[in-house]
Amino acid sequence: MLVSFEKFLEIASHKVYEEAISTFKCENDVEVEKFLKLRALQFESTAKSRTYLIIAEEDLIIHGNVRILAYYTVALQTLKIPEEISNNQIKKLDGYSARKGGEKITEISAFLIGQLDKNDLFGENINGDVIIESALSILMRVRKLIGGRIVFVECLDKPELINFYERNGFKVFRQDPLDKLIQMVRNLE
Amino acid sequence: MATASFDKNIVIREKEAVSKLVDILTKTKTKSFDEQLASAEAMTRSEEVLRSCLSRLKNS
Repeated sequence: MLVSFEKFLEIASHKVYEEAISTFKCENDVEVEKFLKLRALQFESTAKSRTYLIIAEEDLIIHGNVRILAYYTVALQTLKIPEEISNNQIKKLDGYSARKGGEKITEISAFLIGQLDKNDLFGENINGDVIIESALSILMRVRKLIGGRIVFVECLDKPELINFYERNGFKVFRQDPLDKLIQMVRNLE
Repeated sequence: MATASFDKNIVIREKEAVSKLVDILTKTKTKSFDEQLASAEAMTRSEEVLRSCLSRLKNS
């Protein structure tokens, strides 16, 4: 079952929160684990991003245990594009126009899925495709409320990660020359 | 995934990357997904289950 981090903080006691967060393990990507334990709270309180937890429902109902199966964090991001590209290309990226306020558009807004992974301890209980579909489902709600259509992700240059995102509709358009992360996008339609 | 993605400036300088981006966003058929996974109803239900189970635990 899916619960927003905001609601979880509101409903769970400090003890339940600490226990649930401390049992989230992600050895193949320590950053994902660190983010949930060290930064998610601050990012949530400043509205820099929103985190969503997928909790094992049966375990909660039967045993009263809060087991986080997976989580993801979404935010807004901007893709900066060079001024030299054609108006036609800018219009295609913007979806509406090549200019804003009389000037060429040089920034395209996108939804960012900044963190997404499952808990090593209960990983067999959830499929990665369900996690990303859940994130896309959240973004679709945002799209219906305020618009937006591009979803952006970055991942390490590992075939299994790229295949995972490609299987879920993302396509690679670039590798960041500085940190070497693979950048991918998809439409949210 | 990278925490850095939240803070970094995504600056696309390469024209080939822009062309790829345009192609992906205009020519690729979008893969569908289950939009109900995070529906308002599903999330309200989850919150109610969480509230009820934790309240039961607190009172036991």
